[in-house]
Amino acid sequence: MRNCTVTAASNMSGETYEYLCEKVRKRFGDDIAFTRVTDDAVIGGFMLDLNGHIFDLTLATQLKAMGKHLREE
Amino acid sequence: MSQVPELNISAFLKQKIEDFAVAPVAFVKGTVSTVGDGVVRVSGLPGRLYGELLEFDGGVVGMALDLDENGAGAVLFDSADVVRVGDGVRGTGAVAEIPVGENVLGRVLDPIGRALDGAPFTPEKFYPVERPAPSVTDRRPVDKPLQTGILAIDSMIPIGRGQRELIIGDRQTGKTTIAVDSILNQRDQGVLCVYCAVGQKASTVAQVIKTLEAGGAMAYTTVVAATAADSPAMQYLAPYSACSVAEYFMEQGRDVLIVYDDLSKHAVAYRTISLLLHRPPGREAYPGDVFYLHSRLLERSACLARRKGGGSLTALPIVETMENNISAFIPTNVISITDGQIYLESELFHSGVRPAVNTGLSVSRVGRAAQTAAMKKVSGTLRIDLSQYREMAVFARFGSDVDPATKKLLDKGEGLVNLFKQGKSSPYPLSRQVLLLLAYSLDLFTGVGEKAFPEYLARFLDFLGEHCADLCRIIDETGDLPDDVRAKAEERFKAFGAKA
Amino acid sequence: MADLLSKDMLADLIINIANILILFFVTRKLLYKPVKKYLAQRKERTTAAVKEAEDAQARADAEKAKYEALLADAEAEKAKVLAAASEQARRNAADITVKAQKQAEVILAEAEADAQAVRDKAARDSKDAITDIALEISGKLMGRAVTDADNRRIVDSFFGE
Repeated sequence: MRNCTVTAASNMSGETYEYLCEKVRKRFGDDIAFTRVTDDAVIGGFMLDLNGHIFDLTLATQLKAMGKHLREE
Repeated sequence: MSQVPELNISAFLKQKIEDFAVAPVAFVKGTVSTVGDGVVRVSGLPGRLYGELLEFDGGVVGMALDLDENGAGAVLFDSADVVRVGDGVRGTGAVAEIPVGENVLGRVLDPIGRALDGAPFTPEKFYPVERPAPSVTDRRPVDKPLQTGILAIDSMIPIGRGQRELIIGDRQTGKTTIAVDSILNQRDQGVLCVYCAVGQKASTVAQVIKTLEAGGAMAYTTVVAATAADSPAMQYLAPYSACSVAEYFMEQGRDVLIVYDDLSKHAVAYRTISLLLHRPPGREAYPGDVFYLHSRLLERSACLARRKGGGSLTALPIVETMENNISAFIPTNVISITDGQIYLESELFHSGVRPAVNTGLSVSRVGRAAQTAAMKKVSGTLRIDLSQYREMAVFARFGSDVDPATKKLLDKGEGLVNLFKQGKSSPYPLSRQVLLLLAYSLDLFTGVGEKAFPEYLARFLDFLGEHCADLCRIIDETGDLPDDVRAKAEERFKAFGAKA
Repeated sequence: MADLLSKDMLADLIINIANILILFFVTRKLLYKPVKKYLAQRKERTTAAVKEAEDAQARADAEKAKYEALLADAEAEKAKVLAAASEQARRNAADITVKAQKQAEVILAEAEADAQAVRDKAARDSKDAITDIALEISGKLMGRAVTDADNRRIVDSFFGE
């Protein structure tokens, strides 16, 4: 049984959350236990933590990546 | 930052924003479970690789060197102050890499590619720090000389391009000086250089960089530095990073010279890491694979076959001995790996013979295959002359009555010893070396005496500069000593000798 | 008186006269001739010595004349060397001026490069500062503007339709 922690902001509705969990099950398999963490610091989007494998699609991270990109020469 | 004119920041930023592509970020996460002594134990991190670079919260980077079922042990590259238990760790999926390319020439980098000389640095290309050595069939025998500019070495212990020649001696015997002077002499030889400082004082490294700058050498040299203040992991990586930098140029068909200063401190850094990772200690507390530590590094120096570009990487590793003991563990290891050694003795150094090369114990296993034709013609008997002189000098010290033949031998030998004394940062071009040895064979330096020698030599060098410039040019350009040039030189030297 | 001139006295007289004559001739041979020879030799020596002294005097005069000539040459030489030295000094001064000018140019060029580096750094710093502020503002505003539909779009973009 694998554990998946979903981190999203409070602007993600319950329906979208369920939609997301379904997609994860379809992609990675059925034996996943989901936990939701609400953190407004991620601004939007979501982050999956599947037994240590991280998939970060939060807007906060994209903002940081943009900042790094802008700071390049 | 040439693309940012001062007042057009907004245009630049707008363009950058346009260029940005949104991409999902995927990585592997772990958690710090223990921190101590520069070693961090991490739990989690599925799919962890051996030697993988790990990023800790707070920006610290480490390398996973100890994997087990539940996690990994990592050594940190920077100081451990900011890492706390419970912090997150990201696996980068990448092994340690260093920037390579033309734009590293003239720069001072640390082993993971960050610039240490203050100016911004944009890497063009990356090579992994650990790379396989060229295979047996990709190599060709060493045939071209690497001129160090030091008379004692180029005449009796010649180094070829693609050879590994160890410089070994006690502290303060001039090991770094020989290496730096060799780098300085490569200015007109088309050889690129890499200087790797492992565990040295930062002030010493700064001094070396200054010397290289003053000699115009930084244009073709890269410095990779992990000073004594850097973590053992950085010091452990430094020679491998420097080697990757050099290998890039070798694979482009260039000739490269790399100096590892020094491998004793490298072995000590590796010992530190191994003991902290609880690996079993062996002889002198070094881990069991300390030979492999150096052999895989030095095997990457090679002379490549023509179909691989024909480039070469010459290595000058430096090892420090205690009390001239070359039978200690690390010295014997490195001696058995390299193709010869230059052995420096502190007694010679303190009695004024500098470079303090012990020609009896020094050897170059490539030898005369790596000498120019001109040098071969004048250096044939030097080692024998010196060893005969040394034997006779022992006898002469006890009895003062020597027959004329022995006296001549002693005077000639003393002249040769004085001739080999050379100043710091003053490499000799090939023509000067050849003509000096030719003059020696004509007894021009016999009987001059130690006190009068520097002045006599200065006068002779002036004479060479004024009256033999044409001969010097022929020797430097062709690398040979044609018979007519030799005859002319002998004539002029006889005239000098008659005057003096 | 006639017996005064006895035979003995006559014999004595003749012997005496003979003695005197012998003495005279012997002395003449042994004394007179050598003395005359000696005197002649002495006269010769004196003449020779006088001649030598005269010759020496003549040589000394010649040497003196020679040295005076040399001295005159040396004076001329000295004047020439002084002239050459002052010419060299003048040339050196010109060289030093040229060198100093070149050095000044190098220093100026370096200072200009330094100033340019400072300007570049200032430009970089302001670019970074602007970036930071822009990102902060975006972050604050985005949090309010993101809708649930946006979230769903992000989910779809990752997993594909």
